[in-house]
Amino acid sequence: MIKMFNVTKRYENGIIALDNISVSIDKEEFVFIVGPSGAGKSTLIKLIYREILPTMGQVIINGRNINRFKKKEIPYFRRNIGVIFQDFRLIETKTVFENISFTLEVTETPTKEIKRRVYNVLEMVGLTHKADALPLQLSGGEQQRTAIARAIVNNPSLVVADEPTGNLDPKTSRQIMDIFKEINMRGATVVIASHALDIINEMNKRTIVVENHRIKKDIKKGAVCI
Amino acid sequence: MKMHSLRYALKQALKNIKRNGLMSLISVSTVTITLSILGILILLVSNLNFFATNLEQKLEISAFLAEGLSQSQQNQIEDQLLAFDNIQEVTFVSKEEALKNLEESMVDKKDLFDTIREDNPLPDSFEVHVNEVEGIPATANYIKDIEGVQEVYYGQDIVEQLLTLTKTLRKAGTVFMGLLLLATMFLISNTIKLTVFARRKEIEIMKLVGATNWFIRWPFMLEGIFIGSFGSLISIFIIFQIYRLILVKIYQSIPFIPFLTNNHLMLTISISIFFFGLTIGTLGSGFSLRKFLDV
Repeated sequence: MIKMFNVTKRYENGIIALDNISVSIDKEEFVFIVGPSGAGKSTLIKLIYREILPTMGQVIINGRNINRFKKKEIPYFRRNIGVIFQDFRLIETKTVFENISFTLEVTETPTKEIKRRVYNVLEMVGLTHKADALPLQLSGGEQQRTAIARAIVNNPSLVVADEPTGNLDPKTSRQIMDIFKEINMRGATVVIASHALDIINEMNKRTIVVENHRIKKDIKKGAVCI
Repeated sequence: MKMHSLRYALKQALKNIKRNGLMSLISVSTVTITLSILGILILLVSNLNFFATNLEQKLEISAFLAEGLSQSQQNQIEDQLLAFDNIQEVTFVSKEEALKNLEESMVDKKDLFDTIREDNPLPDSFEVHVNEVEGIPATANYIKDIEGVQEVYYGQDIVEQLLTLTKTLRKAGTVFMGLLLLATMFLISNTIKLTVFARRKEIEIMKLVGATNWFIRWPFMLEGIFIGSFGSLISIFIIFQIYRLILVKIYQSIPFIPFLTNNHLMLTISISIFFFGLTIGTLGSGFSLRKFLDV
């Protein structure tokens, strides 16, 4: 599903975020990427949904090299990946329903089908009663659940999240992680960048430790300590 | 674009205008104010032009004939006059008519004419109307050389001053209008740029969930169309209300000045302003988006 070969990312300001890393993530895997701030976790996630390109090396997602996309192909590529951010990135002027349905409007899904699918995911994340609320009327956890619903509404085969519980309390964080577990159980590959070690340890999933812009450890299962 | 997407874009555009109320209001006001100023200036320049043309049309050359010419000699002079390219029309004014005209223009000095009438000193003449007013001096020179023409008068100084004045007015009007047109385009497109900038995060999110550039662009461009056309319609209303008020005021104090009131011109100005507002609204939002679509 995700393959990175000798990937280096150097930003325009000269900062090296990733230094010659190679990693492989299979279909339907649930993987955490952990490491201290500035280690390169977010860069790794951004490479997966092609917000950025590697300076050196190859990134293969779903069998396609992200360097070789034509500009026109990028939107279609992204429709197969659900992305979740620490700051939620919801459109403030749209209701919860519209924030989620937008993803389906993009693919020209019929209106009836949109309604059915949006209410399905809202039920899954427990927000059916907030469908008409605006993002700013929601709590942090509710906003993040909306963002998750948006990411999964069109059944992507890959879901990536960058610090999805970074702004949330431990109880809400656990609820969010349960949702990710369910998404994974339904067949999607899930990759989460995080530094919430206690939760990661509880989840007992494969964990890739990034430190100083390189992969330090790749733990198949079990407790992590950095 | 499929019907479904068009319907969605239309719905989104209307919702966005409502939800971004303040920005929409600022955009419509900018379009209205700038186009109103532009429209009023266009009317002003058109009127100056009309005024200048009107003055120019009043210009004529008088060719005074020598005493005692026969009818055939007069006809010959008339033929020679009409043979010249720049001469549009000639009218013969006999010495009797000339005296009558003079008498009519000086009603209060009637006694003066009692003596003159017995021995009319005024000569026969031709009043010559030209095609191009710029060619008056050359035409006058040509007429002067015709045999039987004793003197030519066209008020050289006045004509030259008037021509310079109308030329300057036209040039200044056009330059000023061009500058204002540029300023209007700049102001409107900048306001639209600001509204797009305020929503750059929204655009970025749309890109990240896999929206194509055109899918994002359509609602913004439709918004531009609505804002541009709405703003220009209000400005058309304002322009003609102000113009009407100005006309009424001026007619009250100086009624003899000619003003443009024909419907054809008003319609042309209205249509131009409407399409200008519409185009700049649409293209302005289309171009402003480009920078933010590259995610």
